[in-house]
Amino acid sequence: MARRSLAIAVLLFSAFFILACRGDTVSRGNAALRIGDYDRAVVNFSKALDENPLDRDARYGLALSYYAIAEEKEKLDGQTLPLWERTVAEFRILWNVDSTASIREAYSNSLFYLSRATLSENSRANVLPLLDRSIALDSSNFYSFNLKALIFENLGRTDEAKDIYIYTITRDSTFVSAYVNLGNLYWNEGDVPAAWDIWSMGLQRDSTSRALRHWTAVAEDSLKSMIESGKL
Amino acid sequence: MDLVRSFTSASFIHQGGEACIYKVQGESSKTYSFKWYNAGVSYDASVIEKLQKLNVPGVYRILESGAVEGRPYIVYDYVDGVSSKELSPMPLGVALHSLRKIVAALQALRGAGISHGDINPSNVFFDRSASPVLMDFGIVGPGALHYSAPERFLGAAPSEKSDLFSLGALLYFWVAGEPLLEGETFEEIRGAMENLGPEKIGLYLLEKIQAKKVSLSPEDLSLLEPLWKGLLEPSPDARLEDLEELDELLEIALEKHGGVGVQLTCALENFGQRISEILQKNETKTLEKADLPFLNSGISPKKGKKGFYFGACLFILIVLALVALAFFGRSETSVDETGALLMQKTRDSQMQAAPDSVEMPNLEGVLERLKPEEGE
Repeated sequence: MARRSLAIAVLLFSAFFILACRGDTVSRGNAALRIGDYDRAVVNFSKALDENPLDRDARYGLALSYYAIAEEKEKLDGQTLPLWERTVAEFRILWNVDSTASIREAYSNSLFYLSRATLSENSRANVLPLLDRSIALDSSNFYSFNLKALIFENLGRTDEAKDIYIYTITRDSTFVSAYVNLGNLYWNEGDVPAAWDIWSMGLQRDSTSRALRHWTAVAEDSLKSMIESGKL
Repeated sequence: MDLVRSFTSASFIHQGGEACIYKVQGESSKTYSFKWYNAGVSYDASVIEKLQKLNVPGVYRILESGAVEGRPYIVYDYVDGVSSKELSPMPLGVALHSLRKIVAALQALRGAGISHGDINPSNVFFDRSASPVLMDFGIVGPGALHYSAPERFLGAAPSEKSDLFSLGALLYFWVAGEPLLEGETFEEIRGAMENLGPEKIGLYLLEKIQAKKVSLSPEDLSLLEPLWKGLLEPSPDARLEDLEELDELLEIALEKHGGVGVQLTCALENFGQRISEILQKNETKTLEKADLPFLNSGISPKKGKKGFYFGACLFILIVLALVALAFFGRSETSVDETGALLMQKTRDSQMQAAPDSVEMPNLEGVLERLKPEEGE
């Protein structure tokens, strides 16, 4: 019995040893990722994945590394589509290994960024399925809601766009873009009072928004001249 | 399946016509409600799936749904509260204020295309802070007899209009303490409804005032009249336009009732106190333990000498594992923590960016949005 127990112990110790070594590669990748050394992070996480493609932490780390690289490039206004494609591809694989809530926000954000980068390359591309997937992953990703509404607006599906903006404002009353865009929509339809309503409502929520301050003032001026000319 | 498989104990709460409800303990002693449908009964999956992705204040949070042992189930956060059925009649100010909260929750769900379909006193719970929580979405049938809109019994799907009717019936129950219409069948209820008008509802309430069953003033009756008129109409077309209109009417009624300031705060505090007392009383009652067939009983330790060796071996392994991790272990932070930091960075950069750039940067040109020119 003792011999058998010892054999099991040796076997398991070896397993732990291998796991610990793997952990070392992953932790090196993680440390690199945390200090912004993304290329080294990619190398280390990839190495861990070569040993075990099912390694959840390594896959998540790799997806996050691509995410960080792509997001950094976003700030430099560079071409980001291939990077977001790569990021989403990694998240897609990760989803097969781990579909828990911990990765949803990052995956959802990546899909939003991918949609936006795709539109930058081709304004006619149909990114609605990507955005729907992004929203399904994280129902509080209002950037995806907002982009979806803008696309609807551009397609002439203004009622659906309005519904989404209103829904967004209802869920998150501090989301400035939805106020700006909903007000724009009303303005474009010639409904100046409604546009003013929305912009000023947004301005009450966020008095620092230059866009809302500007458009509320524009709408106010329009309303005044409409009253003076007897149109209102 | 993850959550349901992690349950360690269950207590029976309630058996209804369509399902049994249990209070269950999961890992780390977290408490959930587990609604297990009877064989052959189910929920509207499209509603439950949508709801599972949302977290709307005033609406119960569904965490998991599926089937176990061949029967559908839903797991949701356990609401430590009291059913509004037990709390009625309630002060008018509290009823109007709480209904506004329910309306706000339903409005938030409209964007996702969700209607309730079975709003009734048993499906609204009040938590310890006296806030209402709407539960039991996704009904397949017509809903509770005394609260569902007539068209629901004729096969219509749940809609904003049918919810408006149910909200009217719910408000009546909250202020009167009993259902508006008597009857055991839909035919009887429909018959009673045909002779119903806002004035008659006022008269019903007046009778209750005289019998000292409710504490309403005659002014309260007149401020409620527009609500009955707008909600309790047999024909959907004759009801209020939408939830937004109802919210406006409720706001007006609440203002007329004078219950918007200190008066309302006091009423809500008293109401919260009442809820706490009921909950305290309930705590002394022991719930009947339920032996669900899939409860995770954990690893049963084997007895005897064999068990001793096994335990000793396991202990040695754990010590070895700890030593291995101490020597070769990972750094103090995990990839998940790094991920959380990165996401926080994304959120911060979105928040800190100039408000104009919070909108879709790079998109204006792409989508050729028509935006009024500056200074126009």
